[in-house]
Amino acid sequence: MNGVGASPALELGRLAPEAFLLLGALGAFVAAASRDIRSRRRVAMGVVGGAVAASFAATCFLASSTRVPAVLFSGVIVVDGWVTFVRLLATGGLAVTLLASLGSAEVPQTDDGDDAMAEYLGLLATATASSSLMAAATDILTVVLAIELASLPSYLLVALRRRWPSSQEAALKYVVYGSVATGVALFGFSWLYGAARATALGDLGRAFTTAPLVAAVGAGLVLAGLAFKLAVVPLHMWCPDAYDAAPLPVTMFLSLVPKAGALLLLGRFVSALGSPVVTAVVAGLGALSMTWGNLAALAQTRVRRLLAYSAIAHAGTLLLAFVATGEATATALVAYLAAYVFMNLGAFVAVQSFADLGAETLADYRGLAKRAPGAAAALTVALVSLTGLPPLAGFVGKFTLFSALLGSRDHGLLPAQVPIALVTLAVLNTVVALAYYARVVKALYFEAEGDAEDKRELAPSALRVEEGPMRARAGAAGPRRITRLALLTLLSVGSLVLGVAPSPLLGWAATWFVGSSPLPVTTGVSSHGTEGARSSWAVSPVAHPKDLLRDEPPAR
Amino acid sequence: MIGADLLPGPSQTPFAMTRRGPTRGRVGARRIAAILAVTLAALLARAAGAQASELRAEPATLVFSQAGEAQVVRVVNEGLAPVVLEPVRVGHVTGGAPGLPSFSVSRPPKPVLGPGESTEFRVVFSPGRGDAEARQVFAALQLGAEGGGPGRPGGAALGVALRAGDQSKRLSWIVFFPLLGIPLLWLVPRRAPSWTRLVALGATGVPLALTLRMVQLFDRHAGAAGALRGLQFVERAVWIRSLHVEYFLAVDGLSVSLVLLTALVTFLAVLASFSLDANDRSRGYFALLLLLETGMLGVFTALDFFLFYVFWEVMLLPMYFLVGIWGGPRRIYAAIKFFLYTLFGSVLMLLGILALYFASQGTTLADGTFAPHSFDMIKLAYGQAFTQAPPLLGFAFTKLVWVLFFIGFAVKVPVVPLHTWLPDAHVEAPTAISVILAGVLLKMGGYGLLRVNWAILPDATRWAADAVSWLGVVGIVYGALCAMAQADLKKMVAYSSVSHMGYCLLGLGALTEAGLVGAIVQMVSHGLITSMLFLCVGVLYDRTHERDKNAFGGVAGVMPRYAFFFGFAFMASLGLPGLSGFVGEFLVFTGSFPLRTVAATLAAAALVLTAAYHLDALGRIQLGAFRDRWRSALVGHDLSLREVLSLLPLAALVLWLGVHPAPLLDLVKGGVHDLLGLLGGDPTKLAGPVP
Repeated sequence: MNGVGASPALELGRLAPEAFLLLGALGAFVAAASRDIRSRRRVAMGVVGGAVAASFAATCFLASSTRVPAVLFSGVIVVDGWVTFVRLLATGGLAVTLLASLGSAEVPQTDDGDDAMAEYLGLLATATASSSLMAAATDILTVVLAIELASLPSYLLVALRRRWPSSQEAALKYVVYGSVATGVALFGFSWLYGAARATALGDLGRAFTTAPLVAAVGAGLVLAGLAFKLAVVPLHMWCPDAYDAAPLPVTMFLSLVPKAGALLLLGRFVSALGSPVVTAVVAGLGALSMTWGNLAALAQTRVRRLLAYSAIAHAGTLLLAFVATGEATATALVAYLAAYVFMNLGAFVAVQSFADLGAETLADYRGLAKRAPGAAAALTVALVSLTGLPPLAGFVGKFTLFSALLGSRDHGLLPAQVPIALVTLAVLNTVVALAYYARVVKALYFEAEGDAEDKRELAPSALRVEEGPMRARAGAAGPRRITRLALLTLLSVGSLVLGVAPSPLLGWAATWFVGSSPLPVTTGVSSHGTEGARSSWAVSPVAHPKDLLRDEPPAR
Repeated sequence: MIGADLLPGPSQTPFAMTRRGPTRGRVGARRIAAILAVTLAALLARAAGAQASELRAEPATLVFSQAGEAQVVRVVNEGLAPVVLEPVRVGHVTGGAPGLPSFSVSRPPKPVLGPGESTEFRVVFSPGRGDAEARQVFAALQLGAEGGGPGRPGGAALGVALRAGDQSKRLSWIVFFPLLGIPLLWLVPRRAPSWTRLVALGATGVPLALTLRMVQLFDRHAGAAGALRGLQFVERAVWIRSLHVEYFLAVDGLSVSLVLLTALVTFLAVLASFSLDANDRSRGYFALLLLLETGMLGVFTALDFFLFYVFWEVMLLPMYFLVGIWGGPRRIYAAIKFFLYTLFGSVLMLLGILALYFASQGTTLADGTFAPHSFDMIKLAYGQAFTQAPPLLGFAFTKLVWVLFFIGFAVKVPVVPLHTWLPDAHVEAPTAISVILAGVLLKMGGYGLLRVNWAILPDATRWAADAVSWLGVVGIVYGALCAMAQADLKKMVAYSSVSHMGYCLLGLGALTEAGLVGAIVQMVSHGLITSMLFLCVGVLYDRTHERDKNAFGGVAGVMPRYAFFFGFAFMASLGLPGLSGFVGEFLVFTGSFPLRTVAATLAAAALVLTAAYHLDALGRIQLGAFRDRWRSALVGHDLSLREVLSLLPLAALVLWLGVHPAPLLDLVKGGVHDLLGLLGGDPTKLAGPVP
């Protein structure tokens, strides 16, 4: 990369993927200043598209040059396998979002003086960069910085449909709650800092020996802040409103990219603390979230809100991964998140196709399998995968997660009954999930347009979105339709391939995270009396930048 | 970099274009596609780079075809440190005993491999006594590596799969051939939708032919004492290494007859589906039917628990769509009820699978790598001591897991408190799907009980056997009473299935050879008979769109051929001696009477109820005065050739098995004998003469 040899430059080089994205975002914002709508849109597309490709290429280059975790800037940032994974996932998610935005009627690309395409692209790129920064942050300072950098673009993205009152309402809710959540997390960090007298995440575990009560309060506040970002029950109330009101590409982006970063951050935090109480709270949040999310989804009539609650349930299921320990946890998290990329994005892209036809509620979806067979099939594949039925990717994700939980039941921080009970609850939740996913499929395939069998559909939903001027432009043009169809095919086939042949992914995860790394990948806190918290994916933040040279594998 | 290349200069912007012209979108899409292609290529290159491991063997699989054949494996150390090859041995994946086929391996010329060095091993195949089990031998050359990277357990760092014998992959062809028909369905020209039927007929006919050939080749005397534990036509390979999941297909005495039943019933169901309108949707119908067949055949042949579960669930979705789209007036309710009930059962099964997996001991996978736990259903049955496993959540391990599996399979059988999905699904499903539901799907429950509960958890089975018998009796009596109360003919047949599957449970609970053989024979014969019943009801419904038995009379007078098959099916179903239904029930009674006298007596008494509702329906429909309102629908519309063709093979088999059941009993006996060995029962106690 640029300036090999100089240590700070080398460290900066390790962050090239984020740097490319942020540069792309800056380019897009500069382009937004242009007066010519058409050229500014083209420039912004080109710059951000290029930034995504460059970021992806840089991630691959960095990952293939060394597998050793790099500890940067005196230990406030670490670039390890997890960061690489989140980078791949985030840039992939961004690429899909960009492609989905091309044909979207909801992304502001009108030329009635309301064009915000360049800003939109810039915000997406910023949020993507901050997602991997969240995964990379290992110090209170960088953690808070990354959270803020991820939150601000998210608020703006939700508020993007300027002329839609519901969009404004959701964005306002999101901003107010979100700022409070960030403040709460920061407040919690200050308690932890006070008890541990350190800002490095790896040293925070010390707080539980010096001042357990202060540490518990601090950890609880931080968890609350992060749970909000992840939209985990009971801090999920912004999520259905925001998902419903935001343009669909934004929704699919929010449901995946910032969440992946926040999830990894939460994982690092929990594993660094290594406290049974914190782990138990995370397990409780996960159990509550998946159960409540699934039950609440049963009552939804708008498909977007249904998917929002499904996302809440899945976030809860993912939290369970942090109860497990050992190598299998890494594999499970990789498998589940990779599956989630395909099934969740697939569902939202398909829902976008139906939204183009003007269908939003389950009642609208009746009989649409005849009018849009491709989108209906893709949505079915995505929903079956979300349910967790084989042979689709969602099953592999769930199965690896469950076996990770059960496999480490005797080595975790919690008693062996807890993982068993959690798996049982998660498995029973599958049945509840099937009940509402099957309602969507039922409406698509089994019912005919105009059936009015279910009276509940007629009740006013909590948030009616006005059928703005977008409906007039229903139906995407030829090339956009092909893009959409190609996306749907890619995501459905991806879901199937990952379900039938998960071996490469799982093998990749295994070599990546526990492979022949010369560094012992444990937390740096085992000397503080929390030796139970050995986890393969927490980091040692104490390494000095000088060690970087030693980290390079010998030349072949 | 890439971004700069793709950045368009402002001067290139074609201002002449209309603002909303489609070209703009196309240029953008092309650009994005280029970016996507670049990134995808980079990802693939990255993934390829990550696969490098330290020790590599060439080739990874050796296939031997004749005795004394020798082959060479080359092992290369691609790592950075020297590796000590210790130990080197041949492990038998499927067991192994003196006198059976085996492999031998030469000593390594170089025990220590430096970085970049390589060495070679000679592997020689020596056939054993040349008995039938030499048809498939699986073993693995295991190379232990010391001094490799961290995270490697000592030993079994690398394996080379060794195989000998028949490599025809017959079972894979049988299971997956229906899937090959699905793309063909979409190649059928739109002008000729009726060709889809022929494609479907071919796609189910070939597996039927292959299955018949397999049954002919099946060695009826292979037993659990051999190297393969009585398994035949074995295929195994590692599927998902990090989860220790194998692709493991085989048949034995427990499953071979059910595979044949599945192939036959599905083929006949396709024949029965010819009465559906040939339109564009029939592609979807047949595609789902073919997917369903793959799922069902997979369940009966898969012996890896993960694979078994995958097939078990794969079958759910097509059934949901087939009932939900092509069913009767209450199809949506029935489809969702079926889906939820079955999924509820199968998630409990998933919990059971995970529990067994984590309680199991380590094993060797098909390519010689070591797995700390096992999904191998045969390994789990032989040589695992689950009785020693620590209690789960305060319950005895084997009993809790047994109950989890039992509920999972009981939903499918169905056992009485869990049976309520069945009448709905059977009644609402189209005729061909009812045939598959009753003919095959219910048998998956019974098969699962035998394969999992009875074989893997024998001590808990002995604990629960009494209750199982009684559940069977409850099913027999309750099903018969419900069937008696039905005016709807299809519903009556559905409840008769509940009643007849109760005999299976009674036989299973007896834990004697006659009882278990009887249960399997009852499953096969019920599959044939109930398929006939549903086809007969379907014939009447196709013509009149009426299923109320009180609405008919004197049909025998106008449709003599139909009356023959109808009467034949009803007589077989009520257990007339000389037909196959009697054989199963008789074996069940003789097997269960000595141990469960009261239960068996009650069940035998319930035969009166069975006879009553069968004869009542038969009389009301076929005898009496002919109703004029059906004159146009029925007179001159006796069975067509296609309908006769779909009923005739079933009737012939029912008669043949009733008169001469020995071939079926021979197929089944070996498997049951081994199962009794596991259950600790006395296999010599074959009660009663075989009719």
